[in-house]
Amino acid sequence: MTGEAALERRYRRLLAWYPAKHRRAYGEEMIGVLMAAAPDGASRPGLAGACDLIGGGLRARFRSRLRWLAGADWTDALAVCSVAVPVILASYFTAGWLWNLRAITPVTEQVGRGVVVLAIAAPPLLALRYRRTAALIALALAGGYIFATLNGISPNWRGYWIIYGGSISGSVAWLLGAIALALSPGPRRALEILTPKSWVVLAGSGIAIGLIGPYLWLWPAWLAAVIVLAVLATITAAFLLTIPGTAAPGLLILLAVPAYPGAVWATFGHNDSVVNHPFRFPNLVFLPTVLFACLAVAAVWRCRRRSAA
Amino acid sequence: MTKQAMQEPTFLILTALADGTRHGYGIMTDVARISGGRVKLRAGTLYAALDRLLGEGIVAAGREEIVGGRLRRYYRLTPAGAELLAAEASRLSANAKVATQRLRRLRDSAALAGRAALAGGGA
Repeated sequence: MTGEAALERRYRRLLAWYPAKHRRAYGEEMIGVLMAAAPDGASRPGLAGACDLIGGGLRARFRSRLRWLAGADWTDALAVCSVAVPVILASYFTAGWLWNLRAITPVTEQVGRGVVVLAIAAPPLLALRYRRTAALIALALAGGYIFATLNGISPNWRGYWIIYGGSISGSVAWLLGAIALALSPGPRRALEILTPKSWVVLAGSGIAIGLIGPYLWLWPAWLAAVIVLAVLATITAAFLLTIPGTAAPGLLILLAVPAYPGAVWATFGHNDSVVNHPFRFPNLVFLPTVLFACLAVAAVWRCRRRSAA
Repeated sequence: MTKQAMQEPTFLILTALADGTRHGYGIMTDVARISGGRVKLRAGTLYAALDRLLGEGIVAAGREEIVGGRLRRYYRLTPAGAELLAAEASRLSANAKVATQRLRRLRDSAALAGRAALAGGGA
């Protein structure tokens, strides 16, 4: 093989760092430029040139992801979120409720669980007619849920509410549902967007989390992590495949805010060495949740500002 | 809202295209010439910039040809790109003018102070 052929082969290998779309558009042209700019007799790319191609490829991949997110319709994402959160929460609580019906539990607790499911379902149904009133009721219910959760946590954990992933996940989900109702066209728009398959996926996600989540502590942390990742990946793929239009990317980012602390808690929440670590666990739960929340707020704010302009 | 200043490689690419259509390698060599050899664009940087500029409608791709078995595509500045380059050039020129004026004043006041010190020393 001649030096020039070897150089071209190496450049082509470096171009694999670029997304396929970029390679189709510019690949052959770039090879021409790279070969023209190469020093005479070179048979391998220089270090700086190779780094430039790798960096360029990574930047192109990152930009294409950003374009995917930038293409998200955040108004539609919020509208879908205003029903997705209640559907997932109601399915989650219903699954847990029906599962526990088998066990001998006090009737008051069973009734209480039923009331919770009704409280979740009420605001989006009411929003079909009175959206602002429904949003206010949803906010009040979210406040009530947070208050009840704070009081329901065992005294040992009260000071650690912020890192108690199960509570923070539920609380953030209730708040997210209420905010989505307040800031978007609400369930009416969601009914236009969602297909029967989307509804099945939303309800199925809640049921899967409700049935699997409470039993993850039975498994070692690594197996729990594998199960959590598999469930989240399946749900993500199902959302992308069944939620039409450009609402899915935004919806995934919004749902990541409550999903993340719940997933971390489900995986590590019963592992004392992780939970009792003075630094690691709070940061593991708290910081990424805040990061996701900031990302979602920034995206929604930008979308609203753009639509107002 | 303030507009972000254009990065130097982008400015140089647009300046190269202001002279007429250029293919990728032509842009690289022209940028090196314009900047007196200070800026050497590499293919990864060049095509990342071209992809962005094409997407923003600042440059447009023109004819293609095969030379020595290699594909060449020619790029040109769009009217929007020419407008953007003109605005950036006038912004840089205005900044440079202010900097030059202030440096002249600084030199003048330093020269005055030097003369005053000499006069004081001589007294």
